[in-house]
Amino acid sequence: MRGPAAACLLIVALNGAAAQAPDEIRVEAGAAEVRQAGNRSRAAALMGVTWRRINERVVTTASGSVTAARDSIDTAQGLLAMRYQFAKRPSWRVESGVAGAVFGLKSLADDGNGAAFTRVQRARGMSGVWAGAATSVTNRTGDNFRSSAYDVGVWGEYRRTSGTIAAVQTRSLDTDLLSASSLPSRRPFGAYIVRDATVTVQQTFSAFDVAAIGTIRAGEGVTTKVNDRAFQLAAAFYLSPVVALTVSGGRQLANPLRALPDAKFLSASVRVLFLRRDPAVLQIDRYGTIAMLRQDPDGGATLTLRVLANSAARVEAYGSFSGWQPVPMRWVLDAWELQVHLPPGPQRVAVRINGSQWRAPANLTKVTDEFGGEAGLVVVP
Amino acid sequence: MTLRRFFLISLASGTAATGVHAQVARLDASADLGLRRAVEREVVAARAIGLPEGLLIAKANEGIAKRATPKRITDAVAALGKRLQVARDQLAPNPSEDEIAAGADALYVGVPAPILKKMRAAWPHRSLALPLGVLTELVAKGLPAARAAQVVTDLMARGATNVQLYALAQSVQGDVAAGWAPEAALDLRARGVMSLLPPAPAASAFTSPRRP
Repeated sequence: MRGPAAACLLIVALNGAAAQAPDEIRVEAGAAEVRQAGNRSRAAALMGVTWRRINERVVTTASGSVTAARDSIDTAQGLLAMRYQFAKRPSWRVESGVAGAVFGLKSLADDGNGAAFTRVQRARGMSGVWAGAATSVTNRTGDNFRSSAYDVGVWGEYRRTSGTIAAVQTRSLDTDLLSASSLPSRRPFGAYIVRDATVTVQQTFSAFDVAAIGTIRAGEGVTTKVNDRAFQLAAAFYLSPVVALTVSGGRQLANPLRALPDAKFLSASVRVLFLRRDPAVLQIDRYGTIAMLRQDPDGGATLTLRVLANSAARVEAYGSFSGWQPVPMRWVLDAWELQVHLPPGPQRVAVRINGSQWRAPANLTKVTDEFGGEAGLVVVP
Repeated sequence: MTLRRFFLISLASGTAATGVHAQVARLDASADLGLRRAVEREVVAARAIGLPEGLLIAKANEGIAKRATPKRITDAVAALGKRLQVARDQLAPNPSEDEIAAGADALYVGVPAPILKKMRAAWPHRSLALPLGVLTELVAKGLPAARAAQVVTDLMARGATNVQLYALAQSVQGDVAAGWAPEAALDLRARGVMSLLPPAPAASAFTSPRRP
């Protein structure tokens, strides 16, 4: 395909930013209005699935999505990523993955993109830094165009606000992407370089989350201007702990690495979270609380408690690990979470929401105490 | 009494009193004076017979956190003191603090005291903290204490490891969550573990004779 570049929209987010549970599936479906630079608006249907599994030190994420518009912006794409945490240096992680996409579903064999990336992360408390590199090949009607990128960034979190700052330099030979801009800054020939600075801020309010993404770009014209900027806004409204209505809109700058053209969009979708109901490992009952135990190599175990409650709730845990003093749980993406190290032997834990009764996590054996309360029994090997 | 001996006794009793006060100082600050004194009495009594008094403070703090009345807290602390003593005696000769705590937990959910002695006999030189925890979990899940104890002690006597006992409890928990009857799940999983162990000795002192 020559002329207008095939569009590859990333509206169904492949961010993999799902919550951490042993097996988790998110399904998202909705619709979008898309206007690629220099073209008229198109309506598109969206469908996406994200699966995530956490093992001892490996987090595996796989996702796939389809954007259907009976047009060249028809896209199917997939992502497989793994993150490894070092046993001896738990603050260090390596994340690698591959992504693929085909454009224009009517001609699957014609156009596509394949990308691979690696990142090294260093976490320190609620913040961290990363550095990474990525490479990709975009095929358009038999011609291959290579792209490569280097990125560095920092992230941080304070109470209910989280944010990232990233800098990316991308070098690409995908000159068809230049043609996709309504006002390319130069003739589409040879390699070009773009440099982006992106700031993302996410804030959690009662019953909904809001995220804002701003990008400033310097470099040659894969977008309408040599030096350009773009802004996106996204929000998720929680109808229940596992169902959310998401809306997002704004402008996405062209991304040569993933073959994404410059486009404006507005989308709405429903997102549903499924947790695998493995009776041996976890359950969710009416309280939406689960407990997961992972043996530590140096003795004892790490207990992870997750509570699916409203983000505005006050969620606490306590037990023999805290001398029965309430410990506030932390909001992690879409659920309340607490990780504690437990010594070997029998331990008891319970959680409560908004100062109500203490409850045992659903998948633990319930025991009542001398004070009329209940707790979950954990035997740490 | 020489002056030196008097000095040493004074020093020792002063150190003991300081230790009790240090323990009671860990009591939640919101405890009133009456509760504080009642807990202190229990701590002194526990210390006198060599029981881990930190568990009593933790129990009192648990009651305070759960907004129980002072009387209920005092009763619970006293009851725990008695369970700790029974557990210590049944797990003799040299139970660790973890074993005593696990034994007291087992007694709390309804495990008869003599079973602790049988378990000690099965594992005289290994820590019973985990087997007692497994037994507590099984009984709390609704299994009859005698049956659960028999299975656990049989497995221990046959040489089961902590890992195997832990896996047994996890499997039973999973089966019960999936809808199995607890006893059926225990029997099935116990047979699975048993099949991995060496043959039983000719006569076991820990199991009652079975009819053919």
